[in-house]
Amino acid sequence: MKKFTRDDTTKIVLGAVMFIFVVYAYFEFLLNPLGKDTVALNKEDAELTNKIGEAKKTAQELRRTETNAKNATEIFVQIKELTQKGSPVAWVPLRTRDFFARYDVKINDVRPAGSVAAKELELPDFIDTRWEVDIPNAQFFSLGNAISAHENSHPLAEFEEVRILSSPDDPGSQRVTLIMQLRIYDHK
Amino acid sequence: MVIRLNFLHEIVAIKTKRERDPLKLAMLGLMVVILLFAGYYMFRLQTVSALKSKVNALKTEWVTKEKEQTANKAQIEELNTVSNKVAALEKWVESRFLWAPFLAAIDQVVTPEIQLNSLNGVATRANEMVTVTIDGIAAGAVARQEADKFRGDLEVTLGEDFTKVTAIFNVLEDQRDKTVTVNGKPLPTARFSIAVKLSREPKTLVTAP
Repeated sequence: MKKFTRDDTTKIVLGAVMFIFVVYAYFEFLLNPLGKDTVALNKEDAELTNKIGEAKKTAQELRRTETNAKNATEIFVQIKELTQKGSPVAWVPLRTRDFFARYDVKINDVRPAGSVAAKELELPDFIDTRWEVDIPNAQFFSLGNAISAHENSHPLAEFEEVRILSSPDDPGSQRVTLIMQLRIYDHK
Repeated sequence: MVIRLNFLHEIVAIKTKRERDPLKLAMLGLMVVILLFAGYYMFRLQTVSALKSKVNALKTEWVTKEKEQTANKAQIEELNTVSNKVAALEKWVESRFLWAPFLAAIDQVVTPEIQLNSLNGVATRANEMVTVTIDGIAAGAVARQEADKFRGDLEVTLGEDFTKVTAIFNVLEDQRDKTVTVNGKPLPTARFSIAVKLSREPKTLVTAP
């Protein structure tokens, strides 16, 4: 076998050193940054894909909620319409008086008897008001009809107390006091 | 036998030596490796570039989606709030005590022999039970029996619409000095006071199959 000259050996050693440097530089300065970029981009890709997926799910959830809440929204609009704007004392007595008059029950007075915020946490914009309804002279049958109709057509009203006192002179005629609780939407 | 003479053997030897130069071979090998490295680098660069484009497209999409998502979330919350409000209101409406069936039951069981003087009913939400006091006068050959019949009928009739109904006498006494005329006949009377208690919970309706 032929022996390398001193010059050949020097060249081989230099070549080997250069090769190692080239390999090192290739991995360190070219492939390594690319690898880091790939990792970062993959992470960002996963995060964005996840976020966009969540956004799509939210859109689907909105469509589902809209379908489910469609009735609720309509009902809530109707409920709000049961309450007139302005101070309750300006319209509740008038409305109650007119309603009972349709059943031949004449109301003498409808007085406010206090109000508190609705106790349900879901209803911060509702107020429970109490009213004393004074009916000086009513026939039992007409009164029953009026109360029945009121309970059917005013879902946010409830009679807490009913006091009926017959007149000693005319047992068919009664003096009536109703304590009515009326839940009112606060338009403010 | 053919004799071949090589007069250029020295030149051929030099040429062979040059072709088998290990340094030159090593350089060739190195060039091949560098070419492979460069090819692989280009491939990786292409992959990263494609990934970068994809991420940029996702970023653009997310800018739009993020706004939509914020708006959608707010709308969902608003709709859920409305649904919860309506559910709470429905619960309140369904738990109302309705006086109409109660007064209808009274109207149904009062006979000409019974006269009611007063009715005091309290149905506040603070109490589970509704209490009603009914005062009146019963007339009949045995007035107490008429009063008790009224009490019993009232309890049964109210039991058709309400639960946990009780009707007990607070007072039941003959009024010896008082008579009333019913259908042209003077009849002795008894004064009574009945305490009626019933649950606010309405009777559960059973749907027919």
